[in-house]
Amino acid sequence: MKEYKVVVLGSGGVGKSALTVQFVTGTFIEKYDPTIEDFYRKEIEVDSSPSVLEILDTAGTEQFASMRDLYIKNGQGFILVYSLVNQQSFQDIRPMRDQIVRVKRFEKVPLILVGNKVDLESEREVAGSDGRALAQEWGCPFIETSAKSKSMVDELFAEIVRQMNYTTLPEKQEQCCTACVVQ
Amino acid sequence: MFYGSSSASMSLPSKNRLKRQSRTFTQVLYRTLSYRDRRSVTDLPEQVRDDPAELSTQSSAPGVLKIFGDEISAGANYKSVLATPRSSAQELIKEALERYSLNKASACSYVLCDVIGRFEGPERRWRTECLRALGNNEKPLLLQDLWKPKEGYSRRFELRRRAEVEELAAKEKDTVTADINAQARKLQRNRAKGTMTLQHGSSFCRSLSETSLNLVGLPGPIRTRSARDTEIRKDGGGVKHSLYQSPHLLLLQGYNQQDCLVYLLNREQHTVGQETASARPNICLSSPDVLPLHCRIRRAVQRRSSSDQRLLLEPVTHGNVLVNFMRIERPTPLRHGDLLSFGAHYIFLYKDPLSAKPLPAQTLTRLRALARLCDSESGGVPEKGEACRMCGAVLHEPVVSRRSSKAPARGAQKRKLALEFERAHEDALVNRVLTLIEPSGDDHKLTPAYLLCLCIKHSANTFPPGSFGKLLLKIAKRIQTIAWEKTKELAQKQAQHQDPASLSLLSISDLVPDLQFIFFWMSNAIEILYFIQQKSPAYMQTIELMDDKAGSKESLLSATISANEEAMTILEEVIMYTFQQCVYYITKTLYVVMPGLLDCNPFGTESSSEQCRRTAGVCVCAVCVMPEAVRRLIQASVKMLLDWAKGAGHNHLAQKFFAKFCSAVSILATPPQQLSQMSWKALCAEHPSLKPVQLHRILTQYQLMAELGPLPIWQPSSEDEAYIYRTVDLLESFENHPPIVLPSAGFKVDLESDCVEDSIYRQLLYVRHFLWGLRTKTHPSNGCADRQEAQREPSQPHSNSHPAPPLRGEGEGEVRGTSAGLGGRGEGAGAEERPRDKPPHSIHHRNGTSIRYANQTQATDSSCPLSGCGFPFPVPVSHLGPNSDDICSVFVVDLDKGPYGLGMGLIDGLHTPLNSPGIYIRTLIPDGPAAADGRLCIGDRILAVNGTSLIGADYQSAVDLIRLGGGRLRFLVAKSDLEVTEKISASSC
Repeated sequence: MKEYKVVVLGSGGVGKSALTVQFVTGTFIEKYDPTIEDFYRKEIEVDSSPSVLEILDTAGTEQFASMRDLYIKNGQGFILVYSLVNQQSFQDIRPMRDQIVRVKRFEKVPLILVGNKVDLESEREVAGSDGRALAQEWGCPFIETSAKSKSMVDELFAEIVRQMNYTTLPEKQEQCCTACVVQ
Repeated sequence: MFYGSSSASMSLPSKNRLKRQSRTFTQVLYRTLSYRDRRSVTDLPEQVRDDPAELSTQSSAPGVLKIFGDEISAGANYKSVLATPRSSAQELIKEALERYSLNKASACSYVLCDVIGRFEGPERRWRTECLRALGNNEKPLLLQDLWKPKEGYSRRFELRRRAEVEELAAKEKDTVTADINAQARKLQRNRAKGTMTLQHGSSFCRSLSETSLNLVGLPGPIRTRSARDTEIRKDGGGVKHSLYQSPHLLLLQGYNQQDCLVYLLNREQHTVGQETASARPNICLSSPDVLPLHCRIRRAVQRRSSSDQRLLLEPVTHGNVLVNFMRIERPTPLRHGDLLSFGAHYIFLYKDPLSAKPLPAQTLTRLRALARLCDSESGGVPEKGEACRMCGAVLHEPVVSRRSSKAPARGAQKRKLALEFERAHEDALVNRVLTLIEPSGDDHKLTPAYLLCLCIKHSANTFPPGSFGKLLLKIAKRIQTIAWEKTKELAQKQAQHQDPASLSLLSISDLVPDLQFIFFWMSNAIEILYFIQQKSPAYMQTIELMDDKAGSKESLLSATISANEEAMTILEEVIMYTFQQCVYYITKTLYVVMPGLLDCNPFGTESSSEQCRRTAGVCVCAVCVMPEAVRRLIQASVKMLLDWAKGAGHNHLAQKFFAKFCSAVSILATPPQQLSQMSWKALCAEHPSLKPVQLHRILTQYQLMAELGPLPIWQPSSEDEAYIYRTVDLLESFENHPPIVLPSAGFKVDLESDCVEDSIYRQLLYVRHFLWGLRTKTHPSNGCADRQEAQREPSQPHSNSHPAPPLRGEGEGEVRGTSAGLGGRGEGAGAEERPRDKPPHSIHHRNGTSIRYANQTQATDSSCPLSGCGFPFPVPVSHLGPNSDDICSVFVVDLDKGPYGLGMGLIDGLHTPLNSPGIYIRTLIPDGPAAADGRLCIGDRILAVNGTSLIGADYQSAVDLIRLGGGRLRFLVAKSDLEVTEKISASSC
């Protein structure tokens, strides 16, 4: 069974844990408890091929931002979450994507831009078109979700699996003239 | 952090793979980023060394504790909480429950567990090995500092439901004790059987007497099965108690270490005998003369009071049972103080503590007599052994055997046989041992076998697993070379005796010194072979019990097994070859003696018996030279040992082989008057072993020689007439001569034995001194120097198929001689037919050790690493580097490709300061299959891949060979010395 390593990134309180827990256990956690680093495994079937998702739910708070490089280094696919009721969280997304590209040294890293809390339509601060524009710029899918009403959650994780299937990270190792790591 | 990174960490199923990937990744990243984006490099934590044994913490993220919770929340692998070394388990449980969105108030129904386990299988699934619930006040972070899981295992903290853990603990307790009990029972069984091959550890070498002594006063099993089955287990101080309660047998003289000191007689009936596959007597005695059911000891049926109980000793037919040194045939009641002998070895004192009397006076007298007997026996044996009158060889064997059987009773001083040495001195040591003893000297002839077995034992117990296989092979090859050298030398000497004139001058006394040498190595080879057969299974087990690291165990095991088998084959070859040589030379001398015997007038009884004595003397003399074990071997085939064999109690063998010879001799020995009265029929009936044609021939020749006229009475009967012209049957055929079997008993080398010959011990001390001398020397040992010198000598390929005189030819020649004599020496071609095609060797110096080494090195170098792997050996010796004379410098490595290859970087030596072509190992990725094998080092040279030579191959083709070579690759690797290694690692890459 193929394994996919997914990292959920985004600033604090945008609903990363809520999305992950909703996907893994099918429940919605009301309470806000800042995550440090949580790790989940879930087997799903995407396009009739069974896959194991290993999801790293990261800390959004700046306190733990220093660990982000390592998450990125080890992750394969990334879910960038902002809260569509919080403009600032949308602003924070861009530097995170830059960081991913910098660490991975690769433009086409499989990632999805997610606007969460679509159930709070009345409080929306970030227009859907803004998100879509950004996603287009990066050449990645864009989804608006709600962890509370479980809208588009499963689709989100299925999509990241597809993304990872489309794009494979360059694993080519450089060989110098005389020595090589024999594969 | 995530998925492990350079630490061994969280991503459970694919931890290692990612780890490896990330490592190679970082290497690449560092290199390229260094000029592209320096900021990123500084961002990446520089080589955070996380402890792979701790899955719950990472030094790169201090203060974060991962609490694994698969058990309480499906899908959630772990959740992190903040923790300090001060945090108690209870606090952390509460934190974690919050993280897991569970009610904090229910903290008491959860427990934090310290779990040790490892990742298993290709899926790298976590498998819990051990689980311990933490007390509420224990501090997990502190605990990590206090103790670590053992190598290969990891620790993680898990949150579990208290009820589950308690249930688990209850279940486990039971299985654990069950296991221990099963193990104990197994050990007990092994011990009872006394198998030599499966000794699990040194603790089992303790004698049972010792153990049984220890058990006196302790609860636990005792050897006597009855005791074990009945009271001992229940009652704590059982043994001590029952020794005063129940009659018992006290061992005075035993046979070997299997013997028990005390046998309780607390049952209705006890059987005494030797343990076999089918029979398990209550009292197991191990000497070979004890029958499976030797006798019974049963409680006599008493009509009167039960307090007056008596034990009856019931012998069975053929069982050798003595009471107070008197043989008994019928059931005999036992009395307190009786001395019981079972077979030739065992003597027991029967004690009945119920009567609580001191031993009767006559018992004490007998005991005193017994002691005197022992003393006189051992004292009567001359220390040096008697010398054979014929050849002056020392007759030491009987002394040894008698002594060893006496040893337990005499309580001879215990000497620990052990030889400790460093690996570096192995070669020098083996060389020294092999040249230590002069076969014609007075030293114990099996000293080399003893010492070499000690070397093997030490190597197997102390050095890295598998190294003993190499040592075995080395020893076997050296012995082989020595034996070959010697026989060649002898053949050359004997070549002078080729012409018939000098042939007649050949006498056994000329041959003895050389034959002695051959016998010497034959007997030592037999002993070593037996030792290997007995011990190597146990030594192999240590490899099997080893931790498996990336499949290296498998390859190591198979390499050792093949080395082991090869060594055994070589030794067998040596034994057979030396045996053939011996038979050949003995037969040859007999051939010279025989005509004298046969030519003389068979009717002059005086001279013929004189001749017979001489012939027999030759045989006996020849046999004297060899140790016991070899003697048995010889007996099976040499057909001239009639007299000696009778004396030595091998009548049945002799009868079988000499039947015809005896018949012929007896016919000739019959006075002519009497013989001429006997009819054909009578002669036939008297000598059924002679075929009609043979009898006819004897009689016709007899008529001619004795100048008798044709005797009608000797006319063959009509039914035999057809057979007398079948001349095919005339000459004895040895097509179906008895197979040469290796001896299966009578071995002398026993490292566990408590007492050894003085001379062996002296040699052992000498060798220890020699080793000590080696250690204190800073220079390379003499042995190495010798061998390096030897390297320069031109190579002289050895062929395995030595021209060995066929046994069959010998036998034929011999009997032909007999019949030829009878027929007027008509057909004596046997001797001339014998192979003489041994290549003459010009350099043969008895003490020419360097020459011997030279050949040896060639022999080992050209075959050792290749045998069993089927590699061609296309490497000229000079290519191997200066260190290549070491046998271990070229070896075979089997590697399985991991998910990321072999983890091994290669370089062409041409592009390094070494500046000579060749594929060398430049890098080894830690934890890769290549590194995990443990034998490969940077700078080692790859000589061949999967049998394809890399000599002269360029870098790209070498890499392609490895890439396309499949998942499992076999490498032939040459170890490089420091100089080469330095040059290879100095290459910039």
